[in-house]
Amino acid sequence: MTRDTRGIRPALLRHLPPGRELSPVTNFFEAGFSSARLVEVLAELRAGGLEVSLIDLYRFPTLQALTTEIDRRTAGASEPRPMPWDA
Amino acid sequence: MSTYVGAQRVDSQWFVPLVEDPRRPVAVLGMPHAGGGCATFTDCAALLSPRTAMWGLNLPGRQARFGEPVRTDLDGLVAELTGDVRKFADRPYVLFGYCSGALLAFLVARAVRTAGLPAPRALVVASYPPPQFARPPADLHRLDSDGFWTRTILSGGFPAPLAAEPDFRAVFEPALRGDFELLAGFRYVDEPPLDTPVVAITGRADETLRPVQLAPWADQTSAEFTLRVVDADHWVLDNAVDRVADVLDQVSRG
Repeated sequence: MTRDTRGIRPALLRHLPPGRELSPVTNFFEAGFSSARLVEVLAELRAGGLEVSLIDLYRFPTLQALTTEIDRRTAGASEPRPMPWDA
Repeated sequence: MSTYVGAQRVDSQWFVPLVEDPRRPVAVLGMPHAGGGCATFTDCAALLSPRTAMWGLNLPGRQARFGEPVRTDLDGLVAELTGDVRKFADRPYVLFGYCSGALLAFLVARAVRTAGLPAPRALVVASYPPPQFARPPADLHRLDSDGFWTRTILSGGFPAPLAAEPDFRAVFEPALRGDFELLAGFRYVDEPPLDTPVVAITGRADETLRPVQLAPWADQTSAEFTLRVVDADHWVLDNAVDRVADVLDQVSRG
């Protein structure tokens, strides 16, 4: 399973409403993404191997915030579990 | 949000522009259905003529303002929205309410009159009975989560693709529940009719509302009243968005 967040931007742009723009810090909803549109984006992100839930798109509602969050989780998941003597 | 209408800067607390350049001569202020947010009007915004800019009401507890506490005090909210409409009122503007947003738009139109502000060019309402006959659910917001969702989904008020997401309750329940509590506080008060033209739009196949039930919106205006019956179910912005955009463009031309 790939966990590449580089797929987030193209997936969003494929569903961006006509005539709208999306900067890294534009709020998805203010750019015109409805819940229905975001569910379509979500399906593409999952098809690309990302583990994303609908609420993630609400809690991290910009390209920058979402990418940072998913990268953070992925990094966390790949690091070895801390051992008691590391504390 | 700070942006421009015509040549004028507008610092709107409540409305988000849904076109990239909102410096268009006419502003349509859209108020969504229960649980809805600013993006409800995205597709409609894209169909409007270049003269008309769509703005979507950006209520807390959903979409762009997810996580913020919802508003449940109807009078207070209407007063604040009216204060915001003042910022648009030196230019032509239209109030547009979708489903229960129609009630909000109507109350704002009345409050605009009471405040002595310039009237909107038109009040456009879709998929909602006139306020003198509106009976928003009184107890829905008090049900537990299972009961709340059973009623909401059975009433056809929630799209299946969203209900298929495992966390849909956490995403949508705060706004829906909050809006039903907000609407439960509505009591119709008699006032003279508005002198603003009213256009009511309804879907021919709406199972919750027959076209004749929208006819008494006529009693809310001393100006022109038009009833538009379109080929759609209740959700006219999903099924007949081009017709809705036509109406908004027509009234914007004045």
